[in-house]
Amino acid sequence: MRDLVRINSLKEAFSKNGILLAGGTEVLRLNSPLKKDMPLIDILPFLSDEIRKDGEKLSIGSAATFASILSCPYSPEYLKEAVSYMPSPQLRNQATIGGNIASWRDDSYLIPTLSASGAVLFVLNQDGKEERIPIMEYCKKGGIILSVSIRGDEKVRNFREGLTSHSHAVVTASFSSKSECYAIKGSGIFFSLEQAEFCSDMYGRAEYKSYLASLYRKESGRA
Amino acid sequence: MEIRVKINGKSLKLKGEPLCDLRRVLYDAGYTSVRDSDDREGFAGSDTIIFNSRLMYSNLIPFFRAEGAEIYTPECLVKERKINDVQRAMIDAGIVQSAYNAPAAALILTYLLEKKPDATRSDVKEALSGIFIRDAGYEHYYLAVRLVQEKRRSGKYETKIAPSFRENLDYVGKPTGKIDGEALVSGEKVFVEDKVLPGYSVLRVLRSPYAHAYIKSIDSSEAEALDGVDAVITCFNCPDVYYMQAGQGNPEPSPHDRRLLNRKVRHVGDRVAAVVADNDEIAEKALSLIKVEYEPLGAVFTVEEAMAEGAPLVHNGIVEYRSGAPDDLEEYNKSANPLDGKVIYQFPLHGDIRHNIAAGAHGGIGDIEKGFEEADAIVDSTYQTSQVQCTPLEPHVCYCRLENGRLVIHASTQVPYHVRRIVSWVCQIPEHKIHVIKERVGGGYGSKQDILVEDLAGYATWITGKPIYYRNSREEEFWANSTRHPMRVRVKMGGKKDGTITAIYMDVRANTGPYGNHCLTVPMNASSKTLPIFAVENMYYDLLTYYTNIPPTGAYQGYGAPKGYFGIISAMGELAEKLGIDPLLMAKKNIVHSGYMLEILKGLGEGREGAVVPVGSCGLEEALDRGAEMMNWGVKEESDDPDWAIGKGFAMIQQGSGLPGLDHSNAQVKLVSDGTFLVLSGGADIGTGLDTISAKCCAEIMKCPLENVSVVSGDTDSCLFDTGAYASSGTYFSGNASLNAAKDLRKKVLKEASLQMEEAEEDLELEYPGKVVSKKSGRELTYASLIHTALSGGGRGAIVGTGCFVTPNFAVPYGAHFAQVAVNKKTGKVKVLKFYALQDAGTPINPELALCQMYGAVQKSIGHTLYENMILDENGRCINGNFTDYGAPMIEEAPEDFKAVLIDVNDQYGPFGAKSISEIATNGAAPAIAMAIADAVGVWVRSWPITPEKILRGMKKI
Repeated sequence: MRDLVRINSLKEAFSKNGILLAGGTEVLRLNSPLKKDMPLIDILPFLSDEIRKDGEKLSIGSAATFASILSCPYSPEYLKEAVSYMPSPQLRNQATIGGNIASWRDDSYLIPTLSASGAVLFVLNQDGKEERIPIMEYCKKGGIILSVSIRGDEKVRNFREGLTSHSHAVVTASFSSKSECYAIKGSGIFFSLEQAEFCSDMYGRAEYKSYLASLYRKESGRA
Repeated sequence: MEIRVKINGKSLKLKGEPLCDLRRVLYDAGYTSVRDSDDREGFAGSDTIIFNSRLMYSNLIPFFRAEGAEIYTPECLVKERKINDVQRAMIDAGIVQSAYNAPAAALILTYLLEKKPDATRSDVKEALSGIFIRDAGYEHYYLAVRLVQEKRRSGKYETKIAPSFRENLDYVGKPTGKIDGEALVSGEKVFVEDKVLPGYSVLRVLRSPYAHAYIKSIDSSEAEALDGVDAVITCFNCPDVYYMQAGQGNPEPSPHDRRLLNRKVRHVGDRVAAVVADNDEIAEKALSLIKVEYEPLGAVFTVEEAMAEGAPLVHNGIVEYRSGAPDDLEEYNKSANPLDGKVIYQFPLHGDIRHNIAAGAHGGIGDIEKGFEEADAIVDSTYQTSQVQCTPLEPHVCYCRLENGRLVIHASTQVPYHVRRIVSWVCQIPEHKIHVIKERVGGGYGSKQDILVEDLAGYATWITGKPIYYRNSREEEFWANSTRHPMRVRVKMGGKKDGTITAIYMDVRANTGPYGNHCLTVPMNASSKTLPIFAVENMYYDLLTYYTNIPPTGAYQGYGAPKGYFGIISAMGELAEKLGIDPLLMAKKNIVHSGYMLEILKGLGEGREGAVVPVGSCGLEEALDRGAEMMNWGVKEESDDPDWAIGKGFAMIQQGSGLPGLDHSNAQVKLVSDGTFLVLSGGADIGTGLDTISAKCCAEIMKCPLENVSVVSGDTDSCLFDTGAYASSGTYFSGNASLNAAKDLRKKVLKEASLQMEEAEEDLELEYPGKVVSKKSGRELTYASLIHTALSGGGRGAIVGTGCFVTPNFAVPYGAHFAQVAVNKKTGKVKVLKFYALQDAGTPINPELALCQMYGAVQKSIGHTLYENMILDENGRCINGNFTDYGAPMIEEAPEDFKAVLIDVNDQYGPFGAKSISEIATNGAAPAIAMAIADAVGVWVRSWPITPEKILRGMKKI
C-alpha cells in the first residue's frame, strides 16, 4: 500500500517526494501512467473549487469538478461541451479541472479547448511564487495549478473522435479565431497542425489520426 | 486510520489504510452490494455510491477522503426487508438478470428520481452512462423508470411490460418477475465472494511473459521459505493428469491437451506457478521470488501463420486416442517432443497437431460445382472476426474449502457437474468427495462454461487443506480467460437472377489459441447453425481449427454462429447487390419453412453423423415480414445532414435449444410438509431466469401459487445431474426436466390422494390453489393435509417427483434482425439509429426476461461488430486488457430506437412450447449492420470491428 503525505501548505508539497493528489480519477485509476509505488501528496484541501465571473472573464478554481463546471450558469458552451466528453457523472463528480490539465494526457478532455480559448493558468511555481502562464507553457514550467482563467465570450469549436463514448479519444482538437490545439493519442498535445506528430498504435494508424486532425481544421474554417 | 462517517443515515467509525479504496472498506464493513467489476478503472459502475450527495465510484475514493462523509449504498434502498419501488420496477421490467451491479443501478435510478421525478429518456441515459450492463441491455431501464413514474402518479403501471402468451396458463408466458429478483436487486450476499469466511488463504498465479516457451527450470525455494506461504505449485510438482477446461459432455469433443501447469507455456498469461499464501501481499512477494528459466520459441498468432509450412508447433507432444486411434499413430508420434506433453483425443476430431490443426470437419449435400455452374453470379469473399471477451461483471472467482474430508467449491459456473468431474480428475479423488455449490453467477456468457479457475483452486485446497479464495483481476480476464475464437470465414455463393441461391460453400478456419477448448464445436456452429436456415440444394463446408499462441478461446454466447452469420449473410447481401435484386427478396426465396427436410444436418453432426429431421416450429418468415414492415424496408432514408448517409440491413438467424442426443437434465420436485413445493433442479441458472422457469413449471402442473414454490439449483449434493447451462439448453432441457418432475409428482400426489380419499385416481384432479378434488364426490383434500398424512406415523412416506429429459428432437429458434445506421461520410463514424430484433422463441416462459436477453445479446453483438477487439502486440501480449481500451459498449452506444419483438410460435417439444432465446440474439447484429453500412456508403467491411478507420479506407479517404 502506498503512503499518503499530508501537508500544511501548498508550498510544502514541493519539498515532498510524491505525486500530487487532487480529485483522484487520474492518479488512483487502473492503468494510470503515474508510478504506483510513489507516495501521494494530498493537495485538495488547499485548492479552491470556486467558479467566479468577472465581466467576460471566468476564474475557475483548480478543484472545481467537471460536474460543477457543467452545471455552472457562467460556463461557456465550448467548455461545457469539452467537460461532457468525460463520459459518466460518477467521474465528472470527482475529476477536477486542475487535475485534468496537470495530467497533460494525449487524450485530454480539456486542454485543447482551454488552449484554443486562450486560457491562462494561475500557478504556484517551484519557487513558491504565484504566476500567470498561458496553458501551453504549463507542460514546460509545471507547478500547482490554482485556478484557470478563461474568456466566456470566446468562440471555440471542439472536435473529438473516440471509438465509443468511453474510449480514449484518438484526436481531440479545438479551434478559435486565434489559435488551435490538438491532443493526438499516442503523440501528445500540439498547438498547431504543422507541429503535430502522428503515430500508429492500437487506437489507429498515423494516417487516420492525421486525416482527422486535418479534417477538423478544415471543418473549423481555419484551413 | 479510523474515520467517522455516516452510512445510510447511521453514524459509525471505519478503520482502514488511508489510501485503500473506499469500496474495499465498505464491503468489509458489510456493505456487500458495493461490488468491484473493474479494479479501479472507473468504468463498470458496480462500485457506485452516493458520496456527499453525489454519485461516485467508491473504487476511486481513497479511504481518508471519507472522513466526515455522508454515504449511501444500495443497502439504503431496502426498508424492513422491503425493496423500494425502483427495485420492484427493475424486477418487473426484466432487467434484474445476472445482477452483479443491479443494486448499484437501483441506487442510481432512485437518486435520479429523487432529483428529477419526471426524468426523461435523456435523463435516464445520462444517469446510466457510468454503469456497464452486459446482460439485459439498457432498453428496459428506460421502461423501469417509466413504470415507477406511472405508479407514483396513478398507483399502477400503465405501460405494458411485455406481451403475454397462452391464456390458458397462469404463470407460463406471463411477466411475473424472477423468483430470485428481490435477493439480487437488493444486494443480498448471494455471490461467491459473499460466502468467503475470515481466515481464508489466497491463491495467486505467476503468468508467462512469453507467448511460447519451454520452462527449463523453476526455483521456488525462496518463495516456499517465505513466512505465510503454504504451497508453490509448478509443472514439476503438479499431477500428471491431462484434461480439458471446456465444460462439455463426457467424453468431450475437445482434446485433453493440458495439465494444471505445463512444461511449455503457450500464451502470454499462461500459468507458470501458483502460490497459496496467507494474504495478497505475501503471495505477491512469493511470486516475485520465483525464478523461472525459459527457452523462448517462435510463436504463431493467426490462422495464416499457424498453417504456414514450417510454422512453430504449438503442441508437438504425444498424441493419444481414447477411442478410434488411427493405425499410423506410432509413426505419427515419432517426432513428438515429450516436453510438449500430450494431446489426448477422446475420439477422432480430424486433428493434426504436427500442422497445428486441433480439429477438422467437412460435409455437405448436393453437387456444389453443379450449383455454381447454374449460377448467374457468384461472390467469393472472406470475412474475418476478431477475438472478443465475454467481460462478465463478476470475474472468474471461486472459494474452496474442506468440510468433513470433502472438497467444497463455491463456484460461479454454468456447469457445476462438469466442475465436479474435472476437479475430481485433477485431484484424483472420486466425485463423491466433491461438493460444488453454484452460487448466483454475475455474468457468464459462455466463459463460465469453462473450468478456468476451479481446477487450480480446488487442487490447491485439496493438497494444503486451506480454505482458498481466488479471483481473477480484470486484466487476467483478458489474458487468461476464454474468448471468442477468431475466425476466417470464406463464403462462396452462387445465385440466379430470380434470386434463387444455387450453391453455398463455406471454408471456416478457426483460431483456437493455445488449447483446444471447444475447438470442434464452436467452429462447427459457424456452419451448423447457418446452412440449415437455407433451403438450398447444394451446400458444402470445410472446417479446420488451428492452435496458435493467442490468449485462450472457448465458449461464448452464440458459439460460432455469429461468425458464420457475419460471413454468410454478408455474402448473400453482396450476391444480391451483384444480381441487382433486393436481398430481402433473396432471403425469402431461399429460407426454410416448417416441414422442410434438413438433409444438410447429416453432415453437421460434430464428430458423428447427424440425424436428418424436418424443420419444426418456425417463425422465420413472419419475423422477416414484420421486421421489414417496421423498418419500412425498401424505402431509402435521407439524412437531414449531408455529412451523414443512412442505410438499412438485415439478417435472418437461427440457433438451437441444447444438444439433442447429448444433453441430459434431471430434476426433482418435493411436496414439502406444509403442502408447498421445493424444486431441486440440476440446471444452472446464470441469471437468465431458469429457476423461475422451473418454479413456473411446478406451479402450472401442481395448480398452486408461484410463491408456494422454491428452487434449489446447481448444487451437486442436493440436485441430480444436469449437463449445464450452455448451447441454449436451459429452458429446453433443464426446463423440461423440471416439467417432467412436476408431472411425476402430480401422478404420485393423485395416487396418494386416491388412497387417502378412497376414490379412484381417474376421478381426481388438481385444483388451484393447491388441492385434490374429486369430480365424482366433490370432496377436497389440500396438499398440506395430504402430505401431513403421508408423513405421519402410519403414512406411506415422502412424495417426490423425479424428471429426466433427453431427446432426439430439435426445438430451433428462428428470427430476423434489422438495422438502420447512419454513417458519417467524413469521419467514418457509425451510429446505429434503429435496431429491431424479432425472434421466435416458442412460448416465452418469462417474456420480460426474454426481451431483455434479446436487448442484451444484441447490444453485445453491436459491440463486437463495431468496437470490441482484443489487441495483441508483436509478442502476443494483450495490450488493451481493460474495458475502456477494449471498447465495451455502454448506454451511449445503444440504438436510440431499439425494439425486441417475440414472434408467437408454439413449439411441439419445448416445455409449454418454449424454445431458447438468448444465444440466437447474438447472431444478427454483425451482418445486419455490415449490410446497412454497405447500403449507406457502398463499402462492405469484411472484418470485425467495423471501425471508422476501416470505413474511411473502404471509401478511399485514407
